[in-house]
Amino acid sequence: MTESPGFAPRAAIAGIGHTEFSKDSGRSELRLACEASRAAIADAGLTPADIDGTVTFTLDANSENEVMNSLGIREVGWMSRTPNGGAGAAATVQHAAAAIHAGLCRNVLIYRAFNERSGKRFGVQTGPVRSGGENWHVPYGLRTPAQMYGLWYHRWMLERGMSNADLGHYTVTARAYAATNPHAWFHGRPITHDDHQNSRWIVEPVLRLLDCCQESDGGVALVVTGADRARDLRDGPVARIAAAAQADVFGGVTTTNYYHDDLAAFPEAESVARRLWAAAGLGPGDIQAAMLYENFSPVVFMLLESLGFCGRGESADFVRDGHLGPGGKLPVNTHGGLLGEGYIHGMNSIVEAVRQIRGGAANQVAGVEHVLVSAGASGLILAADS
Amino acid sequence: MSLVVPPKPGPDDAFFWDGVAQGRLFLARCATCRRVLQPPGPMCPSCGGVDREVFDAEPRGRLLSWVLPRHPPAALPEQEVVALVELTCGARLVTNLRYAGPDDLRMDLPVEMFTDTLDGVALPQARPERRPA
Repeated sequence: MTESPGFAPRAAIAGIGHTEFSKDSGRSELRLACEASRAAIADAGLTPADIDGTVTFTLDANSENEVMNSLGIREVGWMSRTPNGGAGAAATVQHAAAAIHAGLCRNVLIYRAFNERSGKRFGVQTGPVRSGGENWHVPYGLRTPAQMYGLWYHRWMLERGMSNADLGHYTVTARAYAATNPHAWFHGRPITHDDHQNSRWIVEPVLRLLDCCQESDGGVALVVTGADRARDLRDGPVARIAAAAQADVFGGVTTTNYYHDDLAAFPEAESVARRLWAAAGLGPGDIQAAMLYENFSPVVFMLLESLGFCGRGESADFVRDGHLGPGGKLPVNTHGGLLGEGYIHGMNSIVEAVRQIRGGAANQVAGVEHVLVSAGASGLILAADS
Repeated sequence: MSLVVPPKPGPDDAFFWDGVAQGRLFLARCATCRRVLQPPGPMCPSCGGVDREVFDAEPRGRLLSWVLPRHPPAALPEQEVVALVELTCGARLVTNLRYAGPDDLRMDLPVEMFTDTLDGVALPQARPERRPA
């Protein structure tokens, strides 16, 4: 089988919007979705009547009808939803861009909103197994995402001789970025490596508390439109979608990825990487900043290697040497990441990528031409178009 | 209610739990091409066959990975170590590693499988392989 050469759509992210990231929004999930959407549509220079397509996650609780009816969107001709939870975050942009590229619609609203902390907490298993697939891990005591992912992360780390202390160097960098980002939940609260090592075990010997993303209440929305239209709508650099990809690979399971031949790899992320580089005609050396999904800190290391920013087995040294921080070779998660800014299922990292392209991010990287977003099973490359 | 979340056997995996109830380790393989199907699905991904046969898996393998849940903690002391095991036939199972000391927690530790009933729920379990005396 020949792999698709990837997808370079003639589309751009024209609008970004989000609510505050909190632990108790005090508002309905639908209201969060609508507030974020309204902000993104206004940021794009459009009105709700201009929106003729929607994309969200299969996991999102807000129906297309409800969102349309609250926002005043008149008619949509394209609606889709993406699988794989946060690992598929960037696939929402692929869907929107594909629909625009194919001429099915002109302006697509992407939304994701939840009260993930104050409402139903993700991954708290109290009742019986919910599907046959859970028979293979839940009865043995793997009830939370940290526990499920931990088995895979641990093997990945063991084969590299890595320990939890290696992960701490990433978390210190992420929290330093969050400390200077006013949108971040952990604004003004940096941590030291000792803080990381003194935080309690969640899953020993893999994940401590400070390796885990936040549980957040909030909403994020994006507006995707044609690349030419996006330039007309805005002065200054526009976030053109140079490539958008997603991938599942035979044998994969999102939360219990225990069945690939090589457990010390992330085949889905490697497939996404090949597609992104091929579609954009770019390589790791062309990227000035990256937003790498981290529901848990090991994923940053897995993605650095899977995307080719460093070689296999080199990510611990790469992170320890400070390349992810300000002025480093590859600034990563300049908003503070999902550990530091908030966890809106990875969508807030796409917002940060657009901020970096436009200029004026809280921790702006100098000379940004291309920003990569990877959520593992999906990814994007944004290019600054002016 | 049991502290162990019980499995809910369905059409594709009831044979496995029938085996566990008898203290045996049943796995499925494709009746046409003999590919081991674990986790078992309704169709063989190699040949498309939908007929399968159940066999007694050799109850031995090696430790691929392990975790010790701390927050929330294990519901039972027997489940303190959750392990990923690869059996000699190549199938992988999540299980609990029992009777293991700190030195046993290493990649590729040889393990053997047995069945135990934890708070009323019968489950396959692993322990370090007993070496010949």
